[in-house]
Amino acid sequence: MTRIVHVVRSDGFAGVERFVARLAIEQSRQAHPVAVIGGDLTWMRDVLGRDIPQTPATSVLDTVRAVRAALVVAEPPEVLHVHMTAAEVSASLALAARRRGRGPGPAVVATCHFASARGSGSGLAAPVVSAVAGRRIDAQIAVSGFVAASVGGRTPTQVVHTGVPNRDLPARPRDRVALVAQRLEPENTPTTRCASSRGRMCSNGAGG
Amino acid sequence: MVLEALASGLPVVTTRVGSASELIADGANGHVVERTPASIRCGIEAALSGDPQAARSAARSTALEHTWDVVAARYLALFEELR
Repeated sequence: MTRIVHVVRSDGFAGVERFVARLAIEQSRQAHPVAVIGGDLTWMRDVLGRDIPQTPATSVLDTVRAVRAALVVAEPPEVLHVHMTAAEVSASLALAARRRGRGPGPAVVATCHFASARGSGSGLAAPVVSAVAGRRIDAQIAVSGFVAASVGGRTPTQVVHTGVPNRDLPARPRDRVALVAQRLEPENTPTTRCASSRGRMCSNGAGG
Repeated sequence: MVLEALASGLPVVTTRVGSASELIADGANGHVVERTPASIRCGIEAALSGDPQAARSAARSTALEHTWDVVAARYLALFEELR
């Protein structure tokens, strides 16, 4: 059993926060005590349910305070699982302020969600942010090899792809429909896709 | 999005962008194509003309390596090493 606190400096409920929620729920389901710092108060609480406590953290200062509070309880976390640079900085600052003589402290595990170097969005302060953020990280995970190739850091990066719910497949056969999911890349303009799929799919009476 | 499709038993046609191609074994659970209309068209045609049951099975098999319980177990194994 490992006591885990997930940390994300955010008041939203987008991709990273959903990742945190799903992972926290699964870790809790596997009988590990889990808490979450950050994320939209309503959405995150609705998803996490009653068994996983959540503390709001909309700024770095909020997040530092929340982490410090989590560290001084009777059974403090053994792992701080930080998501994105602001949470890494917050954990680093909170641990720096921790009193000596309180034991080894939690391991800090960072999950990198985006393909950019740590602190790259901080302008001229990027080197300082990167140094502070990365100082206390014991292990680093990226959600893909693509992300791992970009993040840098002083610890080796392991790749653990994001998760997916395990749902039953529908019993009925699929229709012959191609779903086109676009990103903002040149080959993904609608006209190019149509040019790619015209002919064969039309001749089969399918569309997409 | 790629994992969601695979979990639904659907083969995926993708270019080498982002992490998508890390999950696709070309010709098994989908097709990795170049960034041209002709290549994308070939990928879609290949996906439509293949054995749908085999593609469905391969797609599901990949997705099952990445379900949340598996992902959580990987994280927990790492945490255990750090304790």
